[in-house]
Amino acid sequence: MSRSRYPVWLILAVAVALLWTFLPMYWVVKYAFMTKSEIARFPPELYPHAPQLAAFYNIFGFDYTAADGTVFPASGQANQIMLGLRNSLLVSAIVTIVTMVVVLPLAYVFARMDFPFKGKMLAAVLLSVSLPPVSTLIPFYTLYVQLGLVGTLGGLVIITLTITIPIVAWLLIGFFKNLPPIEAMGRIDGFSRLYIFVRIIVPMAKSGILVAGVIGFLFSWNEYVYAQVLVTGSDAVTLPAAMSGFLFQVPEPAQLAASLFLSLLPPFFIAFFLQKHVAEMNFA
Amino acid sequence: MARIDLQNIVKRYGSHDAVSSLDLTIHDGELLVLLGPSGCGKSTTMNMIAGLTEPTSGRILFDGKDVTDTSPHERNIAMVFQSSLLYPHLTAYQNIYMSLKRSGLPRNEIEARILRAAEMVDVRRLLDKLPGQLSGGERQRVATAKAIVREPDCFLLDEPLSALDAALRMSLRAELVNLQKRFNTTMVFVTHDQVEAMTMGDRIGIMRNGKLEQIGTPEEVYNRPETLFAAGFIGSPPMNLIEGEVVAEGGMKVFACKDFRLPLAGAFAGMAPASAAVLGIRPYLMQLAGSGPGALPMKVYAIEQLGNEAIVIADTPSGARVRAVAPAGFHAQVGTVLHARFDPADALLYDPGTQRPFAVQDREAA
Repeated sequence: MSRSRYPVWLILAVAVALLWTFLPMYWVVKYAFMTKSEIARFPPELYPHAPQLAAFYNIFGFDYTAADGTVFPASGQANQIMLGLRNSLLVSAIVTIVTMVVVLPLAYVFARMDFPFKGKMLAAVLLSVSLPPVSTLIPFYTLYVQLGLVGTLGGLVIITLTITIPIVAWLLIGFFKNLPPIEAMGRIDGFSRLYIFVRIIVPMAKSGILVAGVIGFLFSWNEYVYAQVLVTGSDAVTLPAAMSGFLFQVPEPAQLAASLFLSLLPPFFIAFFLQKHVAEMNFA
Repeated sequence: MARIDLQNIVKRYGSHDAVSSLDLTIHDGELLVLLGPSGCGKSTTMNMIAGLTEPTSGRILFDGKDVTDTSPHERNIAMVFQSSLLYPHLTAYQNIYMSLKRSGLPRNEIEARILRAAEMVDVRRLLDKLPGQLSGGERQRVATAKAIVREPDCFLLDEPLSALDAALRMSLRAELVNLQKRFNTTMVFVTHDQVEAMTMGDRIGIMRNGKLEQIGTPEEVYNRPETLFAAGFIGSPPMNLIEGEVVAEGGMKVFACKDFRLPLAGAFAGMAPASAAVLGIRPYLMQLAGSGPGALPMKVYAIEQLGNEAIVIADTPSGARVRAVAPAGFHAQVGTVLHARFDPADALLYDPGTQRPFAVQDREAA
């Protein structure tokens, strides 16, 4: 690579962006490999001097004996973390599937067809994107208490859908709008609307649909506000809610960091495998 | 092959008429070009012929049969879309195949037809490629193969060449005309490029604001534009249009614009005086000449060298920008005042009120 290929300001900007993104992550992740006393030290250590996996054992419910004989006891939160991991995967998977089943036809119709009150209905969808979850928390909570949905996975799935459906719809409407007028060609070739949607539009929009699906998954995976109120401490607890136990109930920074590390893994792998599709798509 | 009749077609979007009471007949085997600026209703008209858009009112007949309510597929037409649209996730072969997928033909017949069509437009070696791997010209050829493979009654082409560079456009233009003449299939070609229209069309329909301004052969629309708009739209360089008035001077009718006086000849010699008139004259019919009565003074704005000739662009005293053709290599300083002459019999006179030429009836009524 030649030296003059990228201007200096660009390299600097990228460096700042990378630092901004990765420094906090690094800071947390390094705690996962440190002991409580190392973490408490001031000035803080820049990296774990004697990296050890105690916290990971502990959050999965195992004691850990270090080389020097120190025993790190299993975490009292282990049960919640394990449940949280399972529930988070389950809820996110179901939410993603339901979101896509609902949103694919919805976004297509909004993007590519005309019907009465389309503008107003679209505004309603977009308004709910801009609504902060906290604003609907109390009405939902009251409703859920009445319906007996507090502390259930089904209840959490339903409430998470109120976040993912509008945002994924918003993304996909934009994406579908940019497709060329391929329906006209399909109609001349003699295909039905449904055939055109399933066999032509969906394959054409594969990248955008995948990425929109992943964004739905991540919104569900990261959902904390509703989970904290509705499922904390129950069998339906999710990973973000379970992790907060290390903050509020038994402060264990290393174990908190270890479970955070765990929660970073799925998004990381998804982002890694979808790079190609992200680069291909264009939501402009 | 089909003759297509549009009868009193209206397409209304809200309160806006995209096409208003259009009557149009496309003869069997004819290449009709619909020409006009964007938003003139030419694409809407084509989409209604295709059956993609339903007219608000009016009827569409194919060979005398009413097809207004039939689906695009039933009309047995083939369409090439803007920028030669293809299914981007399918190979060239599959794209062509999609035209016949619902045809009910046996498999081997379909295959034979695809290969024949591909042969005809020279894309056999491209059949395994995806549209993204093809150049603009190759995509255009595949789109053409996709159209001819159906052996349709009518080809509809919606600005298929607009995204290509000039040289490629020129060669594909000839290819399309050649193909159409060989098949002798009715073709409707939509474009905003008047050169494309002039070079390709058996007839040209000039559209503006949802209305047909004029329809006729290239010679007709070039030599006898029926509206001011048609006069200004057809021809490269475009027709010069000079605003002025018609006055009676010394027993003659004279076109007057500032100090410029032109005694009228031909059909316009006997017309009534008019307070407003637009004189139209093709740049090729104007000669640079010395000053004197009947010579149009003009101040040079720019000169374009075309190799075989030069185009002088200049402003008349009334502010109209005109063009005149001069011999190759002609030079003049910007700002120099030149004079141009033309035969009054070559000039056209339009009534800016009606936008049409002053009619013979006007003259006789006077």
